[in-house]
Amino acid sequence: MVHVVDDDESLRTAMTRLLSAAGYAVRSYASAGEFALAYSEDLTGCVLLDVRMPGPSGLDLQASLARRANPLPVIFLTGHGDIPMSVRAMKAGATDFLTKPVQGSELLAAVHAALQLEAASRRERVQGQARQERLASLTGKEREVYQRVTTGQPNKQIAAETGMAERTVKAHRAEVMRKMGANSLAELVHIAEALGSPK
Amino acid sequence: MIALVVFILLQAVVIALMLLRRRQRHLIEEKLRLSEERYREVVECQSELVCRYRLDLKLTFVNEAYCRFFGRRREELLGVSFLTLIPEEKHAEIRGVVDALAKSCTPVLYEHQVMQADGSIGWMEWNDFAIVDEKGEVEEFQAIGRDVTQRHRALDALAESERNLAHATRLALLGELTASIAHEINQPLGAILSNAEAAEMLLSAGKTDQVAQILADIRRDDLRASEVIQHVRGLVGRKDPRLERLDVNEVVTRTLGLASAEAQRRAVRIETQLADGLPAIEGERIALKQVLLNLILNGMEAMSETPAVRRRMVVTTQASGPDWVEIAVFDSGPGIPEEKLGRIFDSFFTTKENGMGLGLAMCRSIVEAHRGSIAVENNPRGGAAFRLRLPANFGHKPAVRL
Repeated sequence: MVHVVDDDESLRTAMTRLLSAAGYAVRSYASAGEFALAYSEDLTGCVLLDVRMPGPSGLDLQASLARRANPLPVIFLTGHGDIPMSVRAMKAGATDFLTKPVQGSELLAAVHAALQLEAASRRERVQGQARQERLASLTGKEREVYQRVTTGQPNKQIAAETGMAERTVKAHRAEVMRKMGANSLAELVHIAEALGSPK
Repeated sequence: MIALVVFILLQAVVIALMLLRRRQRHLIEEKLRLSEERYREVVECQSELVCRYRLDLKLTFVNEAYCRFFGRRREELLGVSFLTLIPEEKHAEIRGVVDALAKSCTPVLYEHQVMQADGSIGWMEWNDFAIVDEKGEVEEFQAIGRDVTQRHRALDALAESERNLAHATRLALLGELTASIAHEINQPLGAILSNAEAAEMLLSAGKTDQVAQILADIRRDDLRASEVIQHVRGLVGRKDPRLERLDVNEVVTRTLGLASAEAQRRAVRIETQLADGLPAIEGERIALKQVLLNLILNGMEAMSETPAVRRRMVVTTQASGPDWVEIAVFDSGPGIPEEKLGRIFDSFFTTKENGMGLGLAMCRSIVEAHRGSIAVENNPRGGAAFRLRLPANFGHKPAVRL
């Protein structure tokens, strides 16, 4: 879904037509406020945003979007004279910045890239959530073994330091690998890195 | 014998008297000669041009400076009308001046163009007076002239640099407007491009139902863009001023049309109170629109910190006395700090963070060129009020010089 936010009715209509003709689902909004009202956490897609609008500007909307848990990628549309605004928007993490009048190929490429980016980050978010859930399913002993294994301790050392039998350590380790969905030690370490150091 | 003696004595007395008279006459003649010589010296040696001419404008006397200035010998000038030294288009005007002088006999001071020795055009300032005979009739005229060519050149240069400055200020104003104008042009251009590309895609997919609407939209946006461009051309184009009779209300309405997109962008409500039956004014349409547009944009900018619901601008027109028309622009912004009210129209004085301080200065110079005035005051109920007073044209006013 592409969300088009522009106060200029004819430009909004034209871009909606172009994106629809290219096969995208499109929703259009006449102001930043209208988009904010329609916004919910489960919106997907990208936002095509005019920088200069009456009321809250495109930059204001971008700032409020960036604070959300699932920030939608933002493509800015701007006039030639808006160099300071372009800089601010890029610093604030705009995905792309297009100068009006924008070529269809350029617009479609930017939308395509933004949607891919959003899909990837959504996948990552889903994966991350699943890993968190898996991590939470580890028992206390398993959690301890997981922490020691992923910081590079061999079984023998773990056994010696925790007072478990080496065989028990091995069993816990196998269970950790299964629950975390890792096929090798390298993969487990990678997952641990992605999850960050547990508290 | 006595008679003879008496005769001889008488003769001697007569001769003595005659000698005395002759001597006296000599003395007087000598004095006269000296005085005339002195007078001639004064007339000849001074750098000012001196001449005398009759009612038919033929020269009866010219001094050395006169001959020098025009590069002619005295014999070439005497008996010739001095109009031969003046561009033809000025002849009627100068005859008028001399005729008036002959009637009134009051000295006149006037300037006119002359053809100098090198063929170039110069300027002379003349002080002419009539010389009247005993019967009170005009015998001839004496004129004393000064070369004021340099002064005129300086004035011309000044006028030229003022024109350049006016042009520069227009450009500066345009600079401020550029971002807004680029936006105004890019919006329709962007819409046209996207519409055309959408139509191409739809057509190649064999879908034709939306295409007619798309074409209509393209045409509308094209007109919108060209309107903006026409307006910009009006602002930068340095054409000769085109004076015309203008309906103030129409100027106001057209200008508001130009500002409406910006008003919408800034969420400013604009109201008008236009008086009916106002007399026409004479002026340059584009320049006056520029003044108004500047005031309107300033007012909108002043309201940028005002809550959107209270952003209100009122533009009024009304007669102001029998000979004036007044246009007023009221905003609901914070007004102008009291200490800055007096300087707000000065060049390079600005209350804006990024302003150059030329917009209002330019407004004032345009309004003054129209023989009008511009004033500002703070509205007791908040906001600033700019008032333009322009002379109404009843057909008897001379043309405005811009």
